[in-house]
Amino acid sequence: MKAFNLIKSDLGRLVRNKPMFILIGVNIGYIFLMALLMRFVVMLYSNIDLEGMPEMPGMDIDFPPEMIFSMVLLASSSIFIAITVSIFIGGDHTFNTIRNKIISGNSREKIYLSSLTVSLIIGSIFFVINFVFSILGAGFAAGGFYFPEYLLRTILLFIPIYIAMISIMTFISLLLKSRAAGIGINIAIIFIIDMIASMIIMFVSTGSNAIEGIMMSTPHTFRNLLVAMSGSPLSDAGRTIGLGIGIPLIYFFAFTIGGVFLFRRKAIK
Amino acid sequence: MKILETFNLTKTYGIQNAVDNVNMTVNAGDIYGFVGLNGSGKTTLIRLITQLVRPNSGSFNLFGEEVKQGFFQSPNSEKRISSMVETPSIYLNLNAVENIRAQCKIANVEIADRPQKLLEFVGLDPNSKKKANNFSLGMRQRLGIAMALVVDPKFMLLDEPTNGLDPEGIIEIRNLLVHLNKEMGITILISSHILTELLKFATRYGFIHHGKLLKEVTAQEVFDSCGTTITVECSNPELLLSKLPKDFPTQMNDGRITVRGGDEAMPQILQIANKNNVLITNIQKTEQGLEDYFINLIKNEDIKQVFPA
Repeated sequence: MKAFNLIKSDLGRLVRNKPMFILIGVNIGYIFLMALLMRFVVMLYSNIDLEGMPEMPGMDIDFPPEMIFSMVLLASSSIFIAITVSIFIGGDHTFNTIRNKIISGNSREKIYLSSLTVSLIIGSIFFVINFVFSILGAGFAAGGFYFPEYLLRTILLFIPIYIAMISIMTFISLLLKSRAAGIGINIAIIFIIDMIASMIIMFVSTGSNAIEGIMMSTPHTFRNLLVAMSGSPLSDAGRTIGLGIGIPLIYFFAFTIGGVFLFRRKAIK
Repeated sequence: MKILETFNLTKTYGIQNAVDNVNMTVNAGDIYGFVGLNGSGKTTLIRLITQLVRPNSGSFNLFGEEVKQGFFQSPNSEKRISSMVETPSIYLNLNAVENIRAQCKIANVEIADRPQKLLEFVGLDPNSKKKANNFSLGMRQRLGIAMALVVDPKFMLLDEPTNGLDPEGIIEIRNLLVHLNKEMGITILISSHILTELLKFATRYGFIHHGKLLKEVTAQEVFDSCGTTITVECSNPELLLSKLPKDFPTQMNDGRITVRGGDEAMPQILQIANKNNVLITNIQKTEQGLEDYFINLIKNEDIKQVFPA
């Protein structure tokens, strides 16, 4: 198939991509480390005698398994995806092989979209691995396996957010000439979004519910979106789905269209 | 047939014209030696033609057809081009066969036994599992050329393909390129710093300086301009000039006679001067190679820029 020649070529390279397999191993190790840590927290909490202690308004110190699941999954996967996408997509700049794609007669739009597709495939690989191992990890941390109704919803809500995140990572990796800079910025973006969100929460959430504070202040960041969605009641499903799909879709199309536009004009070394 | 023709092609970075209104022509069958100092615009021009960068103005034709931005590789196999710009573009984490296979997929051509054939052709072992990361510079250059050959090009643009190679590697690449040109009919545009090397096989030359194409000449014209020149200063230059044989290419400037010719010309000039009682006050023999030819060319251009006519 003529349209998919670049994807086929990139997938052929992907299966020979040693760093990706190393990162998958590290990712799995990290999930278990996090699960182990949470297991200790849960055990510690269960030994505390809460009777007679003053109530702390607005603070939920319960540890439901879906919360653990979300935290483990969220904490680990995006960084590993950021590194892998940056290494793989940025590699075309490092090896200058992006020239081969252009000189062979592939349009810049095709190169961009096929790189995005391969990045999404990388993201899916990590997502599935994270999903499976996070269920095991969360089950271990909570001291038993749970499959609450939240689980499916969390997974479904993660998918559009992942897609949007990967579109940003592809944008950065393809438009920066340096692979190292791509890795740095892609990782930084995950933290920068979190940091900005946390700073805003500090300013606006005083004396009110933290989740509401987040929603009021920065409703469009990924982290806030996740927190808001995991905290919203099932009766508010329409709003959750609207936020969970609509906002990532805006990110996805904005970065993809912008990326194609800029990549068409980009000078290649 | 004109393979490449550029029309006032210009590329500007900031306020500097990296390529300045270049009009060049590469004809079918040429080995076009593209000569210029570092930063003169050779690589930028090759990058413009291969669409790695966009021109600020101007246009170019490939195989007689105007090239539109973003779509320059013709579906017609008789009009395919390929290039190797500076360092070979290869995946260092793959071996030679894997690189060729990846390039076949990128270029959308049938793989079959192409990797084996191409690697044997450029003198690399197709059975080797060695990663390109462990290749010598010469091996990488050969792999780069093999990858450029994947599309069966009719026109190849090579930017400094012998850069960093040892003398043996340079000879190997030269023989390979001559073979591609003579036996396979591939037109080649090659930029190089090693002018003596270009002199051995280029059939036409383009000289570029400060982004401007100064001159395009055939190898014969360069050959005619280069060689030995004898400069004579004497008591009666008009008389000596009139007595010199008519087949001597001569000219007179500021009372000095210059005669193009080899070692055999010198004794003849002395003999004629002696016979006609012309006193020779100074006689000099100078050899001019391609380097001198080029240096003179750019000196004149620099003078023109400082003192425009």
